[in-house]
Amino acid sequence: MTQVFETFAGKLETPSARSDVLHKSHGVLRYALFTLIVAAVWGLAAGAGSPALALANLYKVPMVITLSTLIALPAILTTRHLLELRASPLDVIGAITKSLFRAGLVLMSFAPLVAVYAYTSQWFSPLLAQISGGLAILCGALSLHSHLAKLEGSRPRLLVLTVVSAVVLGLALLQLIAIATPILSVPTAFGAGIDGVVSQ
Amino acid sequence: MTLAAVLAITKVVAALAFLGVLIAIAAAYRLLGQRLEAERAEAVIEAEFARLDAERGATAPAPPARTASNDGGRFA
Repeated sequence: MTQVFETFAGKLETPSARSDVLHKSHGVLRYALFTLIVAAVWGLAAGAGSPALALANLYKVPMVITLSTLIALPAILTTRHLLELRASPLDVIGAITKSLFRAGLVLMSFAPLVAVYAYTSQWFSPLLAQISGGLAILCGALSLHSHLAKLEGSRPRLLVLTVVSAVVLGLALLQLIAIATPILSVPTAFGAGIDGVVSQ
Repeated sequence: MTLAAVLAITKVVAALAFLGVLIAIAAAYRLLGQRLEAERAEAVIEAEFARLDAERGATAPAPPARTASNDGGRFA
């Protein structure tokens, strides 16, 4: 366990530094778990029109978010290393997790509305789900920008890290949505991945 | 192998990977929680010891003041 923390946070010299890293790691994991829970709730609401889809979405939506983050993480951490930022990898991961949590909160806030429309409207429900997803991505990107801007490092380098993180996360998200399709009751452009989006 | 089969295998692999990550996150969260709890308990015990030490220092009799009768070296 100690080795894992030292890999993420460097050699921990003092007990207080060690305790700080433990607290940060615990916070990151808590945010990650909450994000998965709120994503599952949105998934349930988005597929509410069909019970099988709703149940499948309970794991599909959190899976898309988790795996896209894991896929994007090596590129983001390599960018941090190449930009020679003083912020630790744990700080960067913390910023990403917090922004994902905020995006998840946006999804959660739309979930009841999406669930109501899933029962009452065949055409507007998927549209509303896509709008709420787009808003969540926008809020997540803005939150990522504000969290990464607080880290140690020069402003242009942090901006580069933000852009790289957002692009890589977006690309990973797009393809994982294609793998997890169907998430909504009607086919969408995102269901075909980047090919579908580019062809539209 | 058809494209549908490849997609099905990818879906299964993704679901299994997600399950693995979920278990890892939950286990790490629990372990870290225990570790933090142990650190907190240790800090409470240390603070209690420090308080007891301070109390003992306050109630112990003060050393006698140096006077002509007990400080032979100075007034000899």
